[in-house]
Amino acid sequence: MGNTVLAAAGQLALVLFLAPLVQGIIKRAKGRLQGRRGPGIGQPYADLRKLLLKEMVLPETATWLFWAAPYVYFAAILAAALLVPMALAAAPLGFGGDAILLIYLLALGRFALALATLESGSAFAGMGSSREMALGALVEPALLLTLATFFLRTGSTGLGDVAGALSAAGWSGVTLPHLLGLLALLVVAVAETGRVPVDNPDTHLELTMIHEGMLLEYSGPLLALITWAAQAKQFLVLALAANLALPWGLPAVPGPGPAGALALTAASGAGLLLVKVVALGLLLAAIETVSAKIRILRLPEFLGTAVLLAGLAVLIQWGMGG
Amino acid sequence: MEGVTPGNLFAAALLTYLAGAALPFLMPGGRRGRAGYVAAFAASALSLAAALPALAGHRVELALPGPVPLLGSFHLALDPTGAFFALLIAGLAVPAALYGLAESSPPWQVAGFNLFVLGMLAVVAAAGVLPFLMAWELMALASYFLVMAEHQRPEVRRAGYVYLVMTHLGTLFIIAAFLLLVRAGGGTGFDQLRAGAAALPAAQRSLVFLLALAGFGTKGGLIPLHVWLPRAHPVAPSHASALMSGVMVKTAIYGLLRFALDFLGGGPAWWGGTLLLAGAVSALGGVLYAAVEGHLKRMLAFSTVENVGVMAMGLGAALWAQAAGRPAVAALAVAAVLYHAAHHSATKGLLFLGAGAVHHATGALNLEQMGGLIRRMPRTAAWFLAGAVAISALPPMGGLVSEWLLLHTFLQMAAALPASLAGAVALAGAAVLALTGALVAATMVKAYGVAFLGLPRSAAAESAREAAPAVRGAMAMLAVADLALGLGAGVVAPALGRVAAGLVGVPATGLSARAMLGVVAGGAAGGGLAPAALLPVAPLAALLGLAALGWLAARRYGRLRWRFGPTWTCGILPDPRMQYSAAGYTSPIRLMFRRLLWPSKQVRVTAGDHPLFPHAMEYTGGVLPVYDTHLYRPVLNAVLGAARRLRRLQMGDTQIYLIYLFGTLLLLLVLAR
Repeated sequence: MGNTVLAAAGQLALVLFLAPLVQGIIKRAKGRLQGRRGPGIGQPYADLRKLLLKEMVLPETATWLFWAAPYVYFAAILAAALLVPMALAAAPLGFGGDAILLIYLLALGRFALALATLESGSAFAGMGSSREMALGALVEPALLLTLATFFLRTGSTGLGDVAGALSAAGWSGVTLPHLLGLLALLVVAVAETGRVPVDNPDTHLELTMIHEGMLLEYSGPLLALITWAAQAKQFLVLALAANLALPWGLPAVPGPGPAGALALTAASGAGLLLVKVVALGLLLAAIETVSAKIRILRLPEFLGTAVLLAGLAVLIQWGMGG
Repeated sequence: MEGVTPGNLFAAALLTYLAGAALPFLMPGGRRGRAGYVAAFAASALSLAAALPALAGHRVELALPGPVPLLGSFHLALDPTGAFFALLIAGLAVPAALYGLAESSPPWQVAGFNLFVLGMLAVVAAAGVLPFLMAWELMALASYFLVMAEHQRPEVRRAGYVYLVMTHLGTLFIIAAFLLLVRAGGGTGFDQLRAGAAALPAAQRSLVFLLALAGFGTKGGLIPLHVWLPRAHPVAPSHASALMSGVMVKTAIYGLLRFALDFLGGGPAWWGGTLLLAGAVSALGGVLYAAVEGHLKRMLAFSTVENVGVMAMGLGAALWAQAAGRPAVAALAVAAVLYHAAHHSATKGLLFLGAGAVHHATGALNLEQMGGLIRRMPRTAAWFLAGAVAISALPPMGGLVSEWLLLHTFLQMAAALPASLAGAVALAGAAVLALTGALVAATMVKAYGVAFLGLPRSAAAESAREAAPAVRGAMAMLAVADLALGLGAGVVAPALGRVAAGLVGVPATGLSARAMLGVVAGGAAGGGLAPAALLPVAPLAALLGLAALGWLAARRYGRLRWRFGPTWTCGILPDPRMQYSAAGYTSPIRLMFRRLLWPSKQVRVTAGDHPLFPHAMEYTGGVLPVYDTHLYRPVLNAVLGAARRLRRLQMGDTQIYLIYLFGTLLLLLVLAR
């Protein structure tokens, strides 16, 4: 029990402190790729601090729902982060079949935010909210199928277990189904992190917004909570992709031993995770630079690609006798 | 107390329902409705007390003198399956009766309510064909009277007519299925039906299954037999709609369980495949129609179609897994279906009662005429939000557990049956479930956001008042019940697992909380550091803790100052018409699924002085009711056409009719030789 609380606290600290860093690295990389200098890597930290100290302006039609939603979003994303194996091949609160709970915790966050933004009574809020829910409807089955691909390869349904098994398999695990699963996970990651070609996180045109459209009426500390949670969501999606699709080097849970050894293993695992997450983040930045945002109508085709890749991976895996 | 057995309690409950049906006609003036609903409340409480021990395995039996002397006595018995459904029925009847106390219903409505619940309880308690069919018919007729509450309106009469025809069509199929089993078993008791089914050849067993599927599918609302549901449920009074959507469709699931698993004891894989396919079509179709629907109650009715489809998918998976030699997976699937039935009863009841409260407050049921109700009726809005969260299968409500169990079942089936059609279909089923779940969430955000949030769109919405305490109390009961289903999964799941194990025929030890909810001891296969005692409640507790943490952090490190300002609307004053409408909210979904929905729109422009400044614009949009136009209308036209042609035989001349009689008699004599 004590181990669990410690592990949970450690993972939360990891996510909360590193998520803005990863966002900063991605933004700077995107800037460089686009021929600019890009903002500093520490800019998201400065933004969060600024937002926390600002006065809020709330819409006149806001009620307790408007206040509660950022907390629910924040809590849901972080609770989901506790289900993802990050520094070790085990999640602090992981259990068999926790991927389903992960998907629904993310859905809870989306639900809360999409609902609360309608309090403002503005058309832009409705637009962002309706697009986000429609996108969610497509992303959830794609994410489930993609994760199922990895489950069916390793025979267990706990995310930590799957990561551990894949990591233990080493380079022999790099089969065609694995690569297809990696591609599918990448497509879903683009959708879940709200990046081009699904959504443009840098746009200022309300008519092109999906995620940002829901945040238009939020300001001050509430916006800080939402922004931090969104960065945490990006971190957890990338960590999931890193530990499932690029699992090599993920340390297994050490048996009972000196606390120092445990801390060292966790720290080295966290360092390796950061390297992988940053690498995936740079890949996302590159994809954002070379792609254009697709029309909302084309989203089913885009996410259908992930579904197709995942399905192919499963079929080939079964054909290979696994 | 020796005299008080569950059987006595059950008999007392049934008598109290009958009293509740008679009282409204006997009591004076204003107290009529109240007495009837109080009786229903008390009777439902008695039923709950009788059904709980029956769920644990105590046999509850009643032998009532049958209404028709020649056909012997009625046997009612509650086995664990029937007891579970009886708990659902009585459990929803309690808040519905409470809601009824706030209504001013005419006496025949109150009587109908009591007889309706009595009928449903008798259906799940029936131990023979005759009690079953008579209770089935009582249930249908009583609900017909409830549907016809506002019979002065033509669309209500039409809805009642369609309902009556469809329910009797379904009953016809059920009678046929029963007849086949009775003929094989030589008697009308359920034990004899089981023996008879075992003796039937495979082709006849499949026929019985298909007939049961058609019959119970009609009552449950599986597409394409669902056309009565979106007509009948919206026009009935809200507590009646709550019962119809919440538990009447569950009797259909009960019937399918009885036939497919109990009497027939499972069958070939294609039974499961058919049920899975029908369920998937209903789930997806139901949720898509709900997403584009602007009438609050009709939207909830389509959502019921979707949920029945989901349960049918679970049952299909169970049958297929059983046929493929995986009875443990089958039992898990049945347990998931039962969980979903319990959760859906609570949630749908809650939402319909909320819709009724909104209807009373605003006089409207069209989402486009509501708005801002969260400020006018805050407590009702809070409970309705709980219902919206619950039906979207989000934590911490019960829907998450049932959705989790269903998805886990499909994934287990795919893992247990690799490289087979069953495995592939299981994966596809999981994807369909995830898709429909997310579409439900979008639909509920639309409904709640448009109805309760923002600015009021009409004068009626502006002048809404809070609902009566009885209504709020009823909604609170159901919300708490669903929350208990969510947090108490460790207790409820094994109980349902025992019922499921009994139905499928596996020992119940394989369905402990640990096995069902996927929690294994830390460190071993399960991939977590958490000890088993934490169960999946741990992430939910983390949720709350983190929310509190975030709140504290914001208070301590943020400077929480705020002021209010009007919403930015590009420089013009905010107007309710600037908000998203319900139709607009789901237009991305309508466009993405246009090949399934066939949306149509029509814009009429009344020109003004200048072409660029029209006087008025009128937009009419909708989706094609494809089952009405492409299935029922052609069949009806064919039947009417045939009837018209046959009418030529009716000359109106007695002598021609005598010739017909003589000819028919001759033909029969030749055939019977």
